Amino acid sequence: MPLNFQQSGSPTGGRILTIVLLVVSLVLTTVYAREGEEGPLHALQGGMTVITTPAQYLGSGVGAGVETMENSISDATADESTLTGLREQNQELREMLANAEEYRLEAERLEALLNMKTSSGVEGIGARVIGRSTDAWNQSITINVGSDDGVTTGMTVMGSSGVVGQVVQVNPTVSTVRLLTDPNSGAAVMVQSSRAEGVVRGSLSGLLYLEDIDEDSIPSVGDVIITSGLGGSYTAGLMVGTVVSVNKTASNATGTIIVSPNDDISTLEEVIVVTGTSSTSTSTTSDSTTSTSSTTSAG
Amino acid sequence: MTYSRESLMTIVIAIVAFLLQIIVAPYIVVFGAMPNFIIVWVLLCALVRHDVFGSVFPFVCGLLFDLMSGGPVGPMAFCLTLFSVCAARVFSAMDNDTVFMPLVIGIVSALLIEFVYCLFLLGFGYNSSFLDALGLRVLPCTLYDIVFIILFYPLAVRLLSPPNPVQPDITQLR
Repeated sequence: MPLNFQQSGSPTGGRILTIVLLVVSLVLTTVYAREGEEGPLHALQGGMTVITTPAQYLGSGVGAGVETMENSISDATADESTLTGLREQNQELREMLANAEEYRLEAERLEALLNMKTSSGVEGIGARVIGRSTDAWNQSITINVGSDDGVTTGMTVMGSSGVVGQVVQVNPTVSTVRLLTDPNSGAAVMVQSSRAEGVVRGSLSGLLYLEDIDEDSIPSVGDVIITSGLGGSYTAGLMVGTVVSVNKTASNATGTIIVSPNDDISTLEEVIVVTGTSSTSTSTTSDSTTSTSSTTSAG
Repeated sequence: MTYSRESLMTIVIAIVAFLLQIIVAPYIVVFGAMPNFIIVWVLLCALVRHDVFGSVFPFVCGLLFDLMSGGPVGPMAFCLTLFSVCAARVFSAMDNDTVFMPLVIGIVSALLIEFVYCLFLLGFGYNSSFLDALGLRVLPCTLYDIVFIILFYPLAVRLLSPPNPVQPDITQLR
């Protein structure tokens, strides 16, 4: 029978097989932990990302459907005055063509990305978000550019208002980006006004925490946090977010500093993979080619 | 080699469960909790076909999930194999064919799977406190899984129960 769904033979044989498979699982876990990023299991995991790409494309359509459904539920449970307003609004909205609206929104998003790219002086590759993490423990996205487009592991990824994550896995046509809000993320940052350095970490709650900051340089609410570039993991000088809460306690002199993430991850549709900054990059033909092709990828 | 209707159905729905995990699950996240359709389906198979449930099916499903997710490879294969086989054996040993008992076993198994998987991740250096992981992921995700176990249980019974002319009522819901 396939996959041993129907257990055949003696019960002892079944037990032995179960024990063998459990041992194999533990061996795989150990091998995965010990092998490097280039190890066979990591490579297999990368290959799986490519295999599941077509399904992930379907998923982005489902995302829009779920959003529409949420709106419908919200409308259905609204009170009478809200309903009247909604009907009027609906009448106006019906006059618009759905496709035109979609293109307009997309143009707005791309324009915001372009503005961010210009204002922060970065060179980058535009990309579309085609998939999201399939488990609750990892906050990552899959984008439709890969090593064929010049993407490499470690590149910074920006949304329309600043840094959103970092490329952690690259395949020829797709890449995986670990978001800043992932608990395993960490970005070297500084407070823009005081230049005090620290580290921004993600958390399971989806908030960003500013840690390892000097006791004398605690930021205030509203201070802008930017990447410092220390350690070389993130491109320097890019906006990470704004301080929204500083709670000092007796046991913790620096307190808990919460930074608001730049973009709502659930609505992130297009991003820029930063390849360099205008000041450091050279305007070579290859760069121009990359930028042009990237615009095509995102559009 | 012969393939029974139930075995084929199991594999087909397992593929559907994987597609749901890739296509639907990331978009129905509630407060950070995401359902795990693979856990749900494997446990349903273990409960409905407890008499013939083997260990290769949960192992393969767990391994594929590990490869598909961004986490380490192996922990979900371990958890699914161990706890789904245990669930099937416990249910067989209890010889209680009511609706209540398989659901209780399914709920406890889902909790154990999510909990032990969390321990694996923390052991791997996942940057979170145990309490945060328990409160923000293990319990909410288990609740989400339970909802789908309850929703899909009648469907699993209908699709996976073999026709049994000798004991026609053995798989009927009471």
